[in-house]
Amino acid sequence: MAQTLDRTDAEQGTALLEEVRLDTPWVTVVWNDPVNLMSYVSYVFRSYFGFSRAEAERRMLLVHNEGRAVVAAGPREEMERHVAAMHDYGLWATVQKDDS
Amino acid sequence: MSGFRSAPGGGARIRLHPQEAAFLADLARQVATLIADRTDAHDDPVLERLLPDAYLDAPEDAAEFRRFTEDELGDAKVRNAMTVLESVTAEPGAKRVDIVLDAAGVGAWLRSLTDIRLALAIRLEITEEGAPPDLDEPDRINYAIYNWLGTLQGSLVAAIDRR
Repeated sequence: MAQTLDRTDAEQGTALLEEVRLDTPWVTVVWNDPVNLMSYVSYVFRSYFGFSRAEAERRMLLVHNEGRAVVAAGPREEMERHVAAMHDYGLWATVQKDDS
Repeated sequence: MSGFRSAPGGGARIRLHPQEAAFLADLARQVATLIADRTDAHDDPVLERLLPDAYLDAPEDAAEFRRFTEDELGDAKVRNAMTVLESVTAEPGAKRVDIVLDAAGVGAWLRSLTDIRLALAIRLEITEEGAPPDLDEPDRINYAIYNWLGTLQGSLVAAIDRR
């Protein structure tokens, strides 16, 4: 599996996410499980959220290493659509108020 | 079994042994039946994982989300399993099962292989460390099938990833 992280891309992604979070208190969290392949999780993040390969890998590794990762922030209804889509792919995701 | 190869238009192809196709058909049918016949997703840990709660520590929010989304999600999972079941169904006496998927078929297979592996993992109590050491004979076979399905799914991701 390719592990090359594009620094600029990853930093831009984080900056964008934090900007959105300021006025949108809801997030989509994806949880780790012992079943889903790292390559599949990365594929889902790219194909559904449109993340670059580097950003998808970064968030997949967060799920894998930290047990969870925030993959989106925004209005509650939008987060619920994302969660339903993750469940369709077989990833476990939840909607939460952003407590960070 | 040498895994999936890419096919034109975002598709993929594979040749399975009839026994492999039969294992897959049986598991896809079991998952479809479990989902289609459910009354309450909380009754069974497999259903609880395939149709999970969308809110933690907020049972009312989770129940409301479920009310509006669970039927659609369950129907989609049954359809995906049926797509797998149809594509692995072989002529009687066939020596091999050739499967050619278009892009939509790949999407259904990726999702259904995930659902089947999640179901097997919960039944076998698989953790990050692998399977429990004291599996009995049928479960040792199921664990081998679980591992094979992981390899199969990995090859499918790789086949469509190369474009």
